[in-house]
Amino acid sequence: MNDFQKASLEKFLAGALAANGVEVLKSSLLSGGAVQENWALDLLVKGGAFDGVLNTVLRSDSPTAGVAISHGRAQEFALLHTVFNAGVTVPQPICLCTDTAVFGRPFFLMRRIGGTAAGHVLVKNKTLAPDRVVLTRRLGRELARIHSIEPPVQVLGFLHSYAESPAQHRINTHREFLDRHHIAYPALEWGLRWLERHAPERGLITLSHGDFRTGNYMVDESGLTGILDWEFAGWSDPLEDIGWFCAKCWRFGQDDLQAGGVGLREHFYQGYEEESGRTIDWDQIHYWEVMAHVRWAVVAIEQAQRFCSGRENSLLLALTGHIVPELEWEILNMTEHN
Amino acid sequence: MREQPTGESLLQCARDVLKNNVLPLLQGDAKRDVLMVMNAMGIAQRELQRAFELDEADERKSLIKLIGEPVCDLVQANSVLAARIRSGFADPGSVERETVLHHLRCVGKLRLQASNPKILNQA
Repeated sequence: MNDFQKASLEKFLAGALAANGVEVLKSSLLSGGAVQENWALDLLVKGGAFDGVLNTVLRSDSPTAGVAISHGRAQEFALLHTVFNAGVTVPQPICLCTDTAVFGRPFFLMRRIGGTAAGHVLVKNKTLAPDRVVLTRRLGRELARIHSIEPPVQVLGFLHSYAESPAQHRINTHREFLDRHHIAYPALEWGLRWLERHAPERGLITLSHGDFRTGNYMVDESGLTGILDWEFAGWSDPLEDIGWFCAKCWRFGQDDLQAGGVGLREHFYQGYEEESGRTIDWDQIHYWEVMAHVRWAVVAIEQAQRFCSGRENSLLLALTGHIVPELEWEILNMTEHN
Repeated sequence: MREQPTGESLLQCARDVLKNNVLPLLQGDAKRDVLMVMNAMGIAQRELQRAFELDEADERKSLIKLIGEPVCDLVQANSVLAARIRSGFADPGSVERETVLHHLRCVGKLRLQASNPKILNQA
């Protein structure tokens, strides 16, 4: 970050935080994706509601990301703001800047949280969130809070809405993808046909995280510190998130701990039911776990395609494609009897 | 059909990682070992290609039986099967259901043997 950007940020933030002055104490670029650029920013705020040292993350589009996604940060900020106000544990959104004169690109600032997200570490390292019953119930409660948000929400007007049932909507989207793909996947078609035959009708529609699973929340020694990765959020059947969280493919090898590889399904459901006041229909969750396997398989094919097309020479993307056969195998196991 | 990307291109990508990211950091015995590993990967890469040609011949035979038409192109045959499944060809109550399931299991097993054989041992 150059001196000009720093000075320009300090001036903008003093106004946005209603402070007498803001000083950037430290800034460092965090490793991140090709689309976003994240800076760890330590601020000294003089006066106002944030008076004192404020540890934040500045999230902007990457300089090379182009114009097409320039609204991305404003949307993400609106989402974070909405769920924060609903009581979901997320990094507190602080302010949004769409004036490109300040930093060169739109950005928003959020409070920095600590902890670890890596799923394979979390399921084995019990010094992180040591009371797993507490963690599992808490995750259920967090999800119920996300699902307390129902459409329409004016600031979330950018989220796609549709008339069909969420299940049929997913099925259609996956089939459209498979139709465009250069090879067919008969076992996934088997799964999709089962999903179509058993699809629940359109009922309650809520905000859905879209990727609520172990690996996408942060924990430290004291417990949960934040729910991350909101880029797949949308309107859906609330049971879809529950199925995604509990699906066998997201347990990181801890198959007995059916709630995300960290706890028992009962405890997760208890937390959810206490917070939402709704009783979870266990049979319906099975449906959404089949959906989770199909959806993850489609995403894995998409990721492998990024490698196969020659666009990205990443061993991680290439290996992701090889998850598909085990997902298909599990889909057959779950659907062969009816 | 084999999972994409194929084992050969995975090996190629892994070899590139070794060659470009790891090899320049090494010296002496460690460097020689990695060169040998890369050589072994190259051999495995070529052998894989031959082994899968045999598996695909089995898959083709099974598809001919299932579709009831001569199959030249595996990609085309799989796409016919996929479309039939989508339109209800293998729904409960259909004569073909068991045969289709058996085919998907057999092909699935071959794919798992390459991608993740541990899953088969669990069953």
